[in-house]
Amino acid sequence: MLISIDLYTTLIPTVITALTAVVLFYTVSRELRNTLAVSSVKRISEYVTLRCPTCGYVKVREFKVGDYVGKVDDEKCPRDGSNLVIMGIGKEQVSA
Amino acid sequence: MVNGSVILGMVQVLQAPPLNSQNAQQYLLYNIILLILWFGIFPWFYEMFQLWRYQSQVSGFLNRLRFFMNNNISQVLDFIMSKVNEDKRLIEGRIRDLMEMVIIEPTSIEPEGLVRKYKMLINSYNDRLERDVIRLIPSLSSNRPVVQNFTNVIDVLRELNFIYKVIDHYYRLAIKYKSYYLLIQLAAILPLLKEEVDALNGSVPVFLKGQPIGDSAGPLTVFRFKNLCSNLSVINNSVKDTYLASCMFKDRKVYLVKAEGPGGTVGHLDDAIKYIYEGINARPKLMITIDAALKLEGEESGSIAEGLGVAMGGIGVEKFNIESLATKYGTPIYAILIKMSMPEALNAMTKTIDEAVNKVVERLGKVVEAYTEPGDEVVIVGVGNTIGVAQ
Ligand SMILES: [Zn+2]
Repeated sequence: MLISIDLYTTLIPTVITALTAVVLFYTVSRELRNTLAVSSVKRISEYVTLRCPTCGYVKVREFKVGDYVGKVDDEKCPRDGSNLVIMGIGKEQVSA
Repeated sequence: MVNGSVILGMVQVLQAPPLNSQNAQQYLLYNIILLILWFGIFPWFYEMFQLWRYQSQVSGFLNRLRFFMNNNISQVLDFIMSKVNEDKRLIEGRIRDLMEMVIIEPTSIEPEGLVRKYKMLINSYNDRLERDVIRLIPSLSSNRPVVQNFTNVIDVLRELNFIYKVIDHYYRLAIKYKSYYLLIQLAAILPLLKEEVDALNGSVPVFLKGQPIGDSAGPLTVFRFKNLCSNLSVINNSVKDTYLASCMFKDRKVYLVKAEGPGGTVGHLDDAIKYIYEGINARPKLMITIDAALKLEGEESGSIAEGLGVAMGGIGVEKFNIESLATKYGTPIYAILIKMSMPEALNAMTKTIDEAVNKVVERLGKVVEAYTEPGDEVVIVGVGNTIGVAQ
């Protein structure tokens, strides 16, 4: 018995299978790329803004545990020697 | 061509051979099978596949949540073990007990006195949690801010645990009764829950470190505004965890109210405002509340909105009390909102919000100048968790 290759039995299923494979491949690879990108690019830096209460000198440094807004820091103002006060604490995304 | 096999018959039909009586019979058979396939088997497969897909989504979410919780508990345990010398398992058991703590809401079938009941309940909850934390880590009893931050952590863990238990409950029900629609509903809210869970999960290390969060924008605004005015004097009051001070700003007497930092607390702002009216007998001409507000998807983080009314979240107890006071004494209430997303509100303050606070401080000065006369009294309330923000 002879089965000839025709539109319905072979061509359409083949096309559908191929398309499905392509779509699946692209979604998977895109997700993979996204997860890889997230883990490698973002780096978060936590900063502290210090200000001199007398002259207004401003300085930024890394956050240390124990810092809080309003804390009088040990660091002295280079201009007049008064202790700097923490005015803000925040985080920033830095691309590395 | 005569063939007994149905399959081969189907192939022949597809090849559309000329119809004779034998072929007509096969053609009918094939159509019946096709009908059963399309309307009986395929939908069933489809539903099964969908069910399986939603089921794996929800169970994946639950696994992720369980991982988050265990991870957070071990972080908390590390923190505790660095402070006390006790059996790790015992401590973990106590933390899990705290996570299971239930709060039974007062009944509202008769609303009379509901706000006072809520207030009592919240106060006793906070007290109990603080006592439990001190019992857990006795060496912290002298370091109130760390105890407060730790109660915030327990709060977050309780919330995560609660979400886990509720979703798990409905998931199990859906599986038990093979309920397609229950599962779809669960799967539909997952993205929103995921955002919330991620935000809560990220907030645990922030609370442990005592960093300001997005919600601290209100107290931070008051802190920065304080530097703009002169003759600052702290008003001693008996209101727990709440800072109250007065100062002069462009010839107006300004009362500053915020939770007392740097420990993580929202304070009792309503009691402090009551003290301004009834303890000091001040008659402010304007009250300004500043709070972080959840933004809509289309709004920008750190954008500022002004309006009228008490800007304050939560159950609404303090809001009710402040509104009552303002109504009694006829004080208009002005609101300044700093828009942010839920993850931003619960996690370490971002630079955008840090900068938005500076803009709010500027606006605050303008509002005070525009809506009051020299010699008037003004109340400025910084609403929110004051973690990492002292005064
Ligand atoms: Zn200086």
